[in-house]
Amino acid sequence: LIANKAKRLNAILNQLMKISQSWAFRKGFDSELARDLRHEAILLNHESYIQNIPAYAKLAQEEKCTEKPGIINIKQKLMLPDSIFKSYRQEWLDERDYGCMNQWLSGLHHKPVNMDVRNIKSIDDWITNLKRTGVGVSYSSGTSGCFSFVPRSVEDLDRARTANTCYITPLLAYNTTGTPLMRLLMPMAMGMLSPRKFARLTRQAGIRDFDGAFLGFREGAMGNQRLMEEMAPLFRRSYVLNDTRLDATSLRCSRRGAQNEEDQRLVDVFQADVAGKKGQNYAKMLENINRSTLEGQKVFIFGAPYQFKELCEAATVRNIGHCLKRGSLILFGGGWKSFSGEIMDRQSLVGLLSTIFDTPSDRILEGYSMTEISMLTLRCEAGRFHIPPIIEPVVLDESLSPLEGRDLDGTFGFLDPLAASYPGFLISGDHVRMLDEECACGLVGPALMNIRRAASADVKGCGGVMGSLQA
Amino acid sequence: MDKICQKLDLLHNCENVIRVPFLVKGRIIAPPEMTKREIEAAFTFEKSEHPGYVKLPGAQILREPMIDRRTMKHSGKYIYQVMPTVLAQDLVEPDTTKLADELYGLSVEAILDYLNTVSRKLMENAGLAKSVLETSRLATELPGSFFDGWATSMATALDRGQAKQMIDAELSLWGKPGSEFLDGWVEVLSKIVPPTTYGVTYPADHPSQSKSLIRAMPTRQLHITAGNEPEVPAVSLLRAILTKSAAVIKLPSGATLAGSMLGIAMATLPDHPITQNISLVYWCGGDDSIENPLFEFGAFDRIVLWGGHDAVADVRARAPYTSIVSFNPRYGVSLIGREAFHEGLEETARRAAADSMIYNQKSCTASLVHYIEASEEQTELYSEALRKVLEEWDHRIPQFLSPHTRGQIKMMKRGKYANASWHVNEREGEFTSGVVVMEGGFDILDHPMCRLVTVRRVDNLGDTLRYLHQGVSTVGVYPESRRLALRDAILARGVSNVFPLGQCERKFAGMPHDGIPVLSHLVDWKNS
Repeated sequence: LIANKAKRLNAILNQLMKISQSWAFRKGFDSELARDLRHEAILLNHESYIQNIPAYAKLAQEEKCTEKPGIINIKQKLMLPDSIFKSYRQEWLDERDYGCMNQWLSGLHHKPVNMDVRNIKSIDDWITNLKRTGVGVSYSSGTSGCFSFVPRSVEDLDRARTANTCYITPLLAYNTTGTPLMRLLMPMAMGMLSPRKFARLTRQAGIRDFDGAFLGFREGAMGNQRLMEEMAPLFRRSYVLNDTRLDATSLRCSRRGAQNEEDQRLVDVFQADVAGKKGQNYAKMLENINRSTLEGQKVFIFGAPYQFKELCEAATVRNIGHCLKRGSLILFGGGWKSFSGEIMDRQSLVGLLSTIFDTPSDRILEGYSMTEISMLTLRCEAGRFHIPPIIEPVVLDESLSPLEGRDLDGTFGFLDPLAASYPGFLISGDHVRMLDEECACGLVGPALMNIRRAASADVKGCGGVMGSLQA
Repeated sequence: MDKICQKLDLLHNCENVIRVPFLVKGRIIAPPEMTKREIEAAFTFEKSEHPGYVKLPGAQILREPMIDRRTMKHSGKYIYQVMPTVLAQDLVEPDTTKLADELYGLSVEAILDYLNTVSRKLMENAGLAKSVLETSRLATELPGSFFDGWATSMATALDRGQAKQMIDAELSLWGKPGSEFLDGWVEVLSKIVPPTTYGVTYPADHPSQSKSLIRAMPTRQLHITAGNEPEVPAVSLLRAILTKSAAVIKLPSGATLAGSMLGIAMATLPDHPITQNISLVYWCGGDDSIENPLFEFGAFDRIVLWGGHDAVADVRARAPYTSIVSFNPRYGVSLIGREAFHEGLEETARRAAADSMIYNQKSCTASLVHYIEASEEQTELYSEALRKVLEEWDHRIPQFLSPHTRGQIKMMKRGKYANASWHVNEREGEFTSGVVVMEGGFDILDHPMCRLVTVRRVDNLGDTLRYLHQGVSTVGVYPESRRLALRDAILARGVSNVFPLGQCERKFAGMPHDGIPVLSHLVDWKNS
């Protein structure tokens, strides 16, 4: 029975990925079918969560919602705040008690986490070793330095990668990156290939006429960082701002204060690497970008708004042109507010980037996502973040009751059918306006606008983290 | 007062619209005439960054959702307060010579007489006061009886003896009562240190030149008050009056009615220098057109700020040269020794609950966290006893929980604190009060301050010292022997008050507030 359900879930998700492709390429879209499939997948996940994920089972029991609750009940009673991923005791990390961390993580994962922790000395060790046992942990941090850890199975990670590739490729090909030939072949590829094959082929083909410039680290498990590592192989060549590992322990200590001399040493080394070499690193990044351009390559630059601002400042100081080859792309994401409270203004940043890199504003993209969700959304030219039909968005009022309607304002939540190994019915800390109508860009369905942190929520996101490192 | 209100149609609830006047330097400024239709239209068509507030030419309107006291939920209706607009230049007093000649020259006896008269006017117009309180109660989130407490507290504050004690205690210097310094120059028996700059001194050529004189000189004060306790604006007003100050009191949105009523009471003495130099007004916080001129150098000598760190930092940045007296958000905690388990757990829980319930946990002294010296099992026992006491409070004085607070509690229970042990009271499936036992650290900023007590177990009460800091205003300790033993160590951590458990609402005239004798910071100490 379990195998049958898993098989059915897989089939539904594949179908939803196909629907998302078609939706993204504006090739017709059956919203009712998408909704029915989504709901079926959500209910299958609910059953699986009840059986396998203790934190969810506990809530369902408290809310007396263990048996076939219906989507509306799930939205009303069974959505967990994203803070569930930081419901561990900070002392465990302070005292390096990864046994307790395992136990805690088991409450949020579909399988018990009982990896040997005897030789685990740091958060990064813990994450690396979990990965070896099939648990991929991503983390994000807020102002407080209290990390959220999201445990995904290898299958979930793979499915999320496939789902994103499947829909972002046609989305961008439609009017951003696609050549006429690509646009011609795209419907054929979408029709003939399974999502898995489509994603594999896309990754294999890559975008070799692009070089990737990532305003991040060589490796690490934080949100944007994961995305960079996913994207890097697609390019002919890629380079990073900080040629070092984004060390979680150092990052945490830099927010919460070092507990001992060893921690302080780590923070000092890390800060020296990041803040101390900042000017040097940006100069190197600009040299790399220029080199790519001279070699006739288009450049794809990805980072947080705060970092782009610094890149622009570095470029201004150097006082030399950095014209990117026509067709190059800039993508930013990770929050507009730094931990120090500085709010970036989108319009001025786009203006600055456009001037310095001689790139038209329609080639400057913005992404919205979070560690807890499987999908990345991109801002369209009309200023909306369209939610692919795989995800069921929910807007909640102040008392956390789901709102109904086509123009809603409230806290953003979502039911993520791709999350099979951890609870994917989540309430974010973001306040949004959600419109459900046909957009000027041609996409239909729900789209987010005016995204900001909810009043009481921690300033969070990769943008903030980067800002804090440079403070 | 009744006459003023009737003549100008003020403070009267007509179809849930109330016209609220301001006192601006002795003059009652009434709002413009507006129909309910116009008011409702303003909220439909005017754009405002602040929900519940609209500024129109000549008028400001506050819209508050009404609370059905039977269900303790929003009724779906609104109450509207129509107020006049204010201009910064009408509030600032540039003529300090006039102040020195008139207001600053008043005697303490004259201040006390003034208070007496205002107090009498309020009593003579008890009907108006009652109606204002009833109207305020339509939208206040505080339970009615807590709101009534404000009226009693106000009467005490205006009492002549209490007021005199405040002045004498808080402005006391050199062993002399404060009223002497406020009344004029006081000679102090000092030994004058010889000058060191050139080693030259000029002999006194008049007897008055050889005296050392000190005086508490009034100041021009801007009070930006908060609404967590309804008495805050009244306390600020009282402090301004007692220091003979030319003051502007910015009322919080939840206390505009009561503030306005005080203004009308003062306006019954229109020619009195105190009335002529006090303004009781409202504007929406962050309105640069008003705040920038008020924060300008020289506009005021003191800014008294009740608010969060962000607000304080903002005002400091905008008024860098004005002296700021700030009352930051603080909270109380309770320390309960293991003796409680032998000497009556229920009684201890009752005392601790009383400290948590100060202004329904909204007061800066209300206890949010109870540290208990106990085993895990005993901690659960105590938490259950406390839950039962809170349940009694719920029955006796039901509270209103805003949708936001309800959401906040759900967030806590389902999210970051999902693994804590929750002891919750509910009504129709909704939280009414509760206790949450936290094993690990607890972020106080997550606390919703609505009859939710965080309980933390400790092996030894002394272990709690590491959790105490300047953000903690008040600690209630049980039993007395432990209070006396821990008192200095607790206070050395930055805490202001250490009281016996159950007595943390303690107040008396002349009591230091947040570690300072406030009146002393509101005057300028002058030498001659």
